[in-house]
Amino acid sequence: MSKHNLRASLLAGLALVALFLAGCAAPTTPVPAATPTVAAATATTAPPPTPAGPTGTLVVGLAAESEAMDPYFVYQNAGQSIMRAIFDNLLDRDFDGKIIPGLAESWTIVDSKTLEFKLRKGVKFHNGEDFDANSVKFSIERMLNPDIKAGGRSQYASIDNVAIVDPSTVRLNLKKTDAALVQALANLQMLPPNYLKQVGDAGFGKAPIGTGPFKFVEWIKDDHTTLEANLNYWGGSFKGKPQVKTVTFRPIPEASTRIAELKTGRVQIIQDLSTDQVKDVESSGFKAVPLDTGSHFDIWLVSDAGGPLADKRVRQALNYGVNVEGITSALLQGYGQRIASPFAPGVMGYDPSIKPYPYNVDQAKTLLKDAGYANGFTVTLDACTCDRLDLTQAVVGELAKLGVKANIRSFEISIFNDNWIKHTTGEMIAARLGGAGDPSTLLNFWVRTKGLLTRFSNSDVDTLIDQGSGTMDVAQRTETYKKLSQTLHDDPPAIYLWNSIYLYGVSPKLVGWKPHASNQIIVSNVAIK
Amino acid sequence: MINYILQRLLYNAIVLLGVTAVVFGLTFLTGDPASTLLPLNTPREDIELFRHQMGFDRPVPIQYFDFLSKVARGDFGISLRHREPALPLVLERLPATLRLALAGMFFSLIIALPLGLLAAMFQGTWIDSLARVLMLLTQVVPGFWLAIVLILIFGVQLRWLPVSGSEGWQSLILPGFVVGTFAIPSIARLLRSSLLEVLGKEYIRTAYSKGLSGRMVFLRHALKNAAIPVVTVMAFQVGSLLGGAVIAEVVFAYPGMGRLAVQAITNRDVAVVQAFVLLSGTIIVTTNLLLDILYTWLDPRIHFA
Repeated sequence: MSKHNLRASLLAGLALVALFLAGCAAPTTPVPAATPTVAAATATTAPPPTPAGPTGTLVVGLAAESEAMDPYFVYQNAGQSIMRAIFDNLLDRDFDGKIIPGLAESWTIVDSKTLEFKLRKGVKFHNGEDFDANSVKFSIERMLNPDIKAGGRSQYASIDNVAIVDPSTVRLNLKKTDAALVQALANLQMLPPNYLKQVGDAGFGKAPIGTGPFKFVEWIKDDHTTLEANLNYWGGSFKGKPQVKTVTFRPIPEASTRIAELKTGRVQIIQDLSTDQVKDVESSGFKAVPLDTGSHFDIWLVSDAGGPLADKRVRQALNYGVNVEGITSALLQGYGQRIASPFAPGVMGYDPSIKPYPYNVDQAKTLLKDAGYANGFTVTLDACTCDRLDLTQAVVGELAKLGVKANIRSFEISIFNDNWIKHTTGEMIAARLGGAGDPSTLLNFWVRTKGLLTRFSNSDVDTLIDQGSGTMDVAQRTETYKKLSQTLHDDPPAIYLWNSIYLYGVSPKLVGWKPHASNQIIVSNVAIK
Repeated sequence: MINYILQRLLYNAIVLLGVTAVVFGLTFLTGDPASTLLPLNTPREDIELFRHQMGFDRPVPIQYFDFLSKVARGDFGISLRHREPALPLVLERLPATLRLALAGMFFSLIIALPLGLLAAMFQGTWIDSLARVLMLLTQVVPGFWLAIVLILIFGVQLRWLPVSGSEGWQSLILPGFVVGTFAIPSIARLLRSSLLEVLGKEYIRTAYSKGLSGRMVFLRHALKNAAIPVVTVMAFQVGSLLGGAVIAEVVFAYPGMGRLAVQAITNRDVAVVQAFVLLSGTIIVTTNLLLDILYTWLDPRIHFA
């Protein structure tokens, strides 16, 4: 079972928790910039040429089984890939992660506590039921209903009520300004109210119905889920129309088995390839396709509470002193780019003009000397047994060259997390962060002074975080986050390492497939030669 | 007979009680169950409320008795991941695992019995040596590795058999073989040594002196008597077959309860893990009970005492 699976499954179901340590858990999606009012989406990719109607069967090898068939209880990327095929969201994200219209063709920020959505007309659910304002109201209210116990509920908690203006216009009245809400609405599937009332929650979980490009056929747990093309799928979705008649999703937990199935031709796309498997896949004539706009990244958090690490110069020195490119080329087969701040590519506020710390041992040693630590010092580093020890040791080796001795303490993940929450970790923590929509959530979590996991304090940073979450205006927020990115680069609360890469194995027979920024697999607009 | 069975049942109940204690302890294995089960960002007061609602703030013995009384009614609680009662989740995957275990038993018997027989019949010759090397090989080759090698040879290169999934009997061959190898060495070795022991007995000499053919002596007299310890060890192998099924199910993406359990372990889905462990324990204990009864039929010297 791959590292990703292990950690992904760790806290499945708890969207916010998946913020950290979870490579592919939760509806983790990069955070793009969006404008308050967006015109109708245009199909960005040319669909492959189709004969008369969809033909053939596409088989996808997922790394895990879907938790459920009711989209409000599906949290991992594996299951979310199936949900993407059956359902459409109110808003959506394009392949690069940018927020775009979904079943709402446009939206407006009326004031700081009101959002208005214009809905697409003429869209029908698979059972013929019309999609309209009532479907939106019903879906949001179901998500918010505490009895339903949907894992993502807290992301929508700022919604006070949903008002139907007319059949194709809805207003969300909020309890307070919620900068992250637009991001969350891009994860919210629209459900058919009449059908759900008729079959009930349990019935819906057995035979889900959405507006998406594929219709549900059957789910044999732990074996396969079969969908068939929705010939009446509405035009204009970024996902494109279905090009194959049938799609089968097969959960295959073991990575070598997924590759074997790809090679036999019984599966055409596989999830979660590791970097050391790329050669094997490519030498057999298959493609290894990377998703490099992912929003997760590996960093080592450092505490500024006392000791050498309280000095900004020391934290800068550690960033100068690690040969990240050397490590990624030797141990990650060249995948993974060095990051300059917690705003990785694909996150709102990412600024390519802020360059990562260059590898410069002399500069690092000078800074350490200036800070009074010319002979280095010793710290304790907490690592999770779910992480790759060779990567951790490589970074430890780099620090040793500066005279900084990091003693590794390895913990099983629940204890690792527990120490983190209870602030009983060493001075350094090897962590993976990112994902889960809006940057504000993550920043409050580990950067803002006294955040649940914060080991750091900088009042400028706190002010910028508050500014960023005080408005729903995306352009303004983007600017604020760029400033924040620079501040966090100069006063680093961590050693910035690399952003995580997701890899897929793809059959050369597939035409038109590309990775989606969410690391979920989109199966429409894909044909088989 | 009735008394004997009742006595065995009582023993088995005690064993299962021990298993429940271990299973219950699982909840506490990774520290405070509340922090294991709740998301990391849960506010303190919610954690306390959850502890209270789940009864984690009560004394451990009371929690254990509560757990026991629920388990006796088949209630292991709700799976965190699947949001369904844990026991039915495991039970609905049991038939698939039993099919796999049976396939495993089949493969282990058709390999182990000839191996043991040949080794005993040709004791000291190269056939014996070869058979013993094969027994050793099945013991030392890791199941996980063997599974991948079989996939590469029969699935990817030769394309004779499906690589993974469950599409009828063909899908049972590779995983069944892998599961079977877990039981081969002990069955084959025991058959060999117990045949050798029996072949030296006086009644075998008597049989020969009656003028019976070698084959007749071997099959009718030696094999039947050598079978008793083999039957014993076969029943013990139910545990290794179930254990082997866990590995095989994951590698071959086979939809059984072992794979569910592995998934539950990585998800900290304690209820499902508990249901799985206790169910497996019950299966093993029950097989041993049936075996005890079977003995009395195989070997009249064993009495219902």
